[in-house]
Amino acid sequence: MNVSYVNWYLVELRRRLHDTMPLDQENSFIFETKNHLESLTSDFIAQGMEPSKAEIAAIERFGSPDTVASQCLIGLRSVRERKIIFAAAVALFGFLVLYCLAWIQTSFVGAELGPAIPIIIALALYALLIGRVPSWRWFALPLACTVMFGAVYAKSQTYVRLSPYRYNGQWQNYGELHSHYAQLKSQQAEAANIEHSAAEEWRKNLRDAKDLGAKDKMSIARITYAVPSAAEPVLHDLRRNGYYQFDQLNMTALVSASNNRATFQYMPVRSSLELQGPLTAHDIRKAIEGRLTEVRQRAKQRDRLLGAYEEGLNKSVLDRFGARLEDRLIMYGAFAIPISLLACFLTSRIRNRVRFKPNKLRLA
Amino acid sequence: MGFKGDLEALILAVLADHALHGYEISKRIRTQSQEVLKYGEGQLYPALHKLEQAGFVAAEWMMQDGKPDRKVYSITPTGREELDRHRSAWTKFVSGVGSIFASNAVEEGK
Repeated sequence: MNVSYVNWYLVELRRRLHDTMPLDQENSFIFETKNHLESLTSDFIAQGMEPSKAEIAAIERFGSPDTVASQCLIGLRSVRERKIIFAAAVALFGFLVLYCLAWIQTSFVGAELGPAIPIIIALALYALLIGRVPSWRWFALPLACTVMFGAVYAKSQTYVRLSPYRYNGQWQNYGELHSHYAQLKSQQAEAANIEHSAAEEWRKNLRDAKDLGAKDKMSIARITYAVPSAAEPVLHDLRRNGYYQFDQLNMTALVSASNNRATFQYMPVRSSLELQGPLTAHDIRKAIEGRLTEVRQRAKQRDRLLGAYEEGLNKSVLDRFGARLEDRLIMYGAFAIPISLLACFLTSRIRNRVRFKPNKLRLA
Repeated sequence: MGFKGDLEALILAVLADHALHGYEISKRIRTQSQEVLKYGEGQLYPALHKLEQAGFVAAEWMMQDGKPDRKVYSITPTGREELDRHRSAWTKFVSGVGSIFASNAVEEGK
């Protein structure tokens, strides 16, 4: 294989210039150097030199690769710095734009990935300007940014608190909405807990009542017979219509009854109802149904409110509160790097495609 | 006042009359200076690129049949203004240095 000195020189020069200037400039520079050295060699050969000696003489006249590369960088450094500053300015501008968009619609920006987006834009822009994918070290930036903001977001929700959110026709503070939502959720959990404990308590009472001795027979009679005598048809109706299971009948509709007076208690929501006689089955049924309707309406209202809060807070964001921190970081971190790489690859391709590339640039 | 950026000034001066490619510019500097100005020719291209980015010269790739393409440089109007500034700086420099040498010669003659 015949490797000329000129080709060796060009390879060395390219190695020194690599990653210091835009690719099209580098190509242009190498190409011109090649032309220059070949023309110089031809002239020396025409003057009677041997080809190999002519090549060496041409290279000596041109200067060592180190000298030429350093000269080249001195001229280009300021241009490169200007481009980096420009990219940083665009990144800052991009961040501001994204922040403004987050005011209008928070779901537009993935909370963890959002801050990395301007960096990805900056990297892509840099690739567009210099015509090559930046060094791998640069890609640590979006990853670090994603991890850092993800951690801050998960721990303090600072990022969320920065964004007001449009809910119910008015601008609301996102953090406040979330705290209201959490309050309602805890109320709901408390209600469920009360229902559970009340059920347990009344089951116990009934068991105890069956085991009681003669001393408490009067109470038992009142519990077991007095109320059912008036209310049994009603309760039977309710049971038949699917309002209650049998166990709940006793729990719900009974507290005490004597003569023309009956007290009902609906334990799950600590709601009591006192009726005075003379009572007919129709009266009792009407009163209980009225109270039940009221209770149900209140429960529905609470659920509707919760639903509205959930909608207002954007359920996907709420779901993320529940996700494990490391899962989120892996997910978004894994997104950040390929997105950055893809953006840089595409933009550098665009740059190299639109710039003119001279023909016959082949190095050994 | 000193005369700065001499290679850039020489390139602009050579390009003042003709659009030329790099090798031709180098040859002209050598021949027109009667082989007095010698420099590493590798310095020419960084200087040309710098002038191009500054907008003092414009470059265009010329296709050649059967030969490699050539990048041909030509001077721009701002490049001509820059050349004028260089010329004036050089004239002042020469006259300043000439005056000193002349006064030295007079003192030695006494």
